[in-house]
Amino acid sequence: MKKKRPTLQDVADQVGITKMTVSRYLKNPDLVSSPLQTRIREALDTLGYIPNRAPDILSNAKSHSIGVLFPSLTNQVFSEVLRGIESVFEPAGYQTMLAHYGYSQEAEEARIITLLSYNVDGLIISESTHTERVRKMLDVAGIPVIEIMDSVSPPIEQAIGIDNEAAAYAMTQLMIKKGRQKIVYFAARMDMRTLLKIRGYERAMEDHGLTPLCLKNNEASSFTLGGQFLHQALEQQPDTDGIFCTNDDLAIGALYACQKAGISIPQQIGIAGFHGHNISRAMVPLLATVITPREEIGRLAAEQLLSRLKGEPVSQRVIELPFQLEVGESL
Amino acid sequence: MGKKIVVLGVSGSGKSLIGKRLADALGYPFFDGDDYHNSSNIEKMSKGIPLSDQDRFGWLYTLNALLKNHECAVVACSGLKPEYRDMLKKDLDDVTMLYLKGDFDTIWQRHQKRNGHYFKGQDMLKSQFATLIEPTQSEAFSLDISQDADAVFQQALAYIKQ
Repeated sequence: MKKKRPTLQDVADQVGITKMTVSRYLKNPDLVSSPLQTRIREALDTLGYIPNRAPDILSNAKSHSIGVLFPSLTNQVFSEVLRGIESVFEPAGYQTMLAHYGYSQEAEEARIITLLSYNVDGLIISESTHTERVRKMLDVAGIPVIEIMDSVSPPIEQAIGIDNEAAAYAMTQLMIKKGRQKIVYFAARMDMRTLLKIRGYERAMEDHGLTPLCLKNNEASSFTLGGQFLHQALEQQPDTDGIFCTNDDLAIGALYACQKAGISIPQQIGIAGFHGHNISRAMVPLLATVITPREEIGRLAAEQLLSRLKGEPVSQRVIELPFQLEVGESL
Repeated sequence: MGKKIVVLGVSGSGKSLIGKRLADALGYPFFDGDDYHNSSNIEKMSKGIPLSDQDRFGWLYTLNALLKNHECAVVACSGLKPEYRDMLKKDLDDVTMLYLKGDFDTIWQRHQKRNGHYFKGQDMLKSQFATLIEPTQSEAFSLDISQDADAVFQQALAYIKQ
């Protein structure tokens, strides 16, 4: 059973002041004298008072919370995006409400309904394709929406991300320049960004007169899946000399599976990942990867959302941030 | 002593050369602004299409993030207009800016000696000079690039170390 929470009146009684004074303190402690601040703080601590935002939300129609939707929480990419987002919202007094949808459009729809029902002031979404109902609801909700991670798909209002296809093209081209001819692409989840990356990889291979081979799996990416893919690749194409993975996890899994099988990297097979997580900068050999500006995407999305909450118009519908190629030691 | 340094100037003024030498001398990492353009900017530049302010936004935002994320750094960036320079040092109060000052003829001569750069043609350099609003004394320390590179480097290093 839910316990009865201490009320503002309980705090006021404890200190021997009026409810109004406690309420003033909660709005801004400096509105009451400094000795009184100490006494109120002590009473709040003793009673374990929990502020109730509901009246504030009802009277202002502002919740000071921002909905943030990620496809997955096991994917490290999004913890770094979140760090960027919170570095802006925390100091601005906004709370992020986090939800994830396992790369499913239906789950995304359900999460967006929930977040909107909590009256979030704005939304940051990690997907560029949505159900018809989501599009309609976002239109009706009338709150600023920013889609992140992809700068190519047309945005609902504003998008901040990278050109995933160009990034995959650039890395494939680098691998070809390093002498790789039989490069296999490892793809998981098959979300829109992965499809764009596959297109970049295939285009680069074909532009250089090479035959693309893409291994696909709908499961979540993991180190073990990278290992499975390696064995599958060697079965289908025994003379595989390059592996380009849709993320670092698959690449690291494939690299360890090669080491276990006595295949030397990069002499026999060159391997590249995508994103440039910290571990790729510490492992042996250092992983070649596409470094994506994850924290910057989060920070910029939050800054743009804040400026729109202040009533500024959308300054730029699409903001494309650059990626960097890291050659590492695995090519 | 400056720990976050930006070397400004039009393309061909020697930003990368001076910036890299400064970074090596100080033991700071060096970032060449040209490496931080997004793919659509690179495509535009390779076709000789001048960049708009919107095109430059993500680029300048990224260079500003590099300065924020590194305790010490040297960044080379054209920074042609006061707005661009403000974006480079946004939320930072410890950025030292150096401006490599030269006239069109001096820099065009250097351009003709360079290869393998996205920068194409005299028109692009003309458009840079047309866009350029030189930094004031309070914005950046000016270095005269009609001197040889060693003299420019020594002068820059002395200024940073003061």
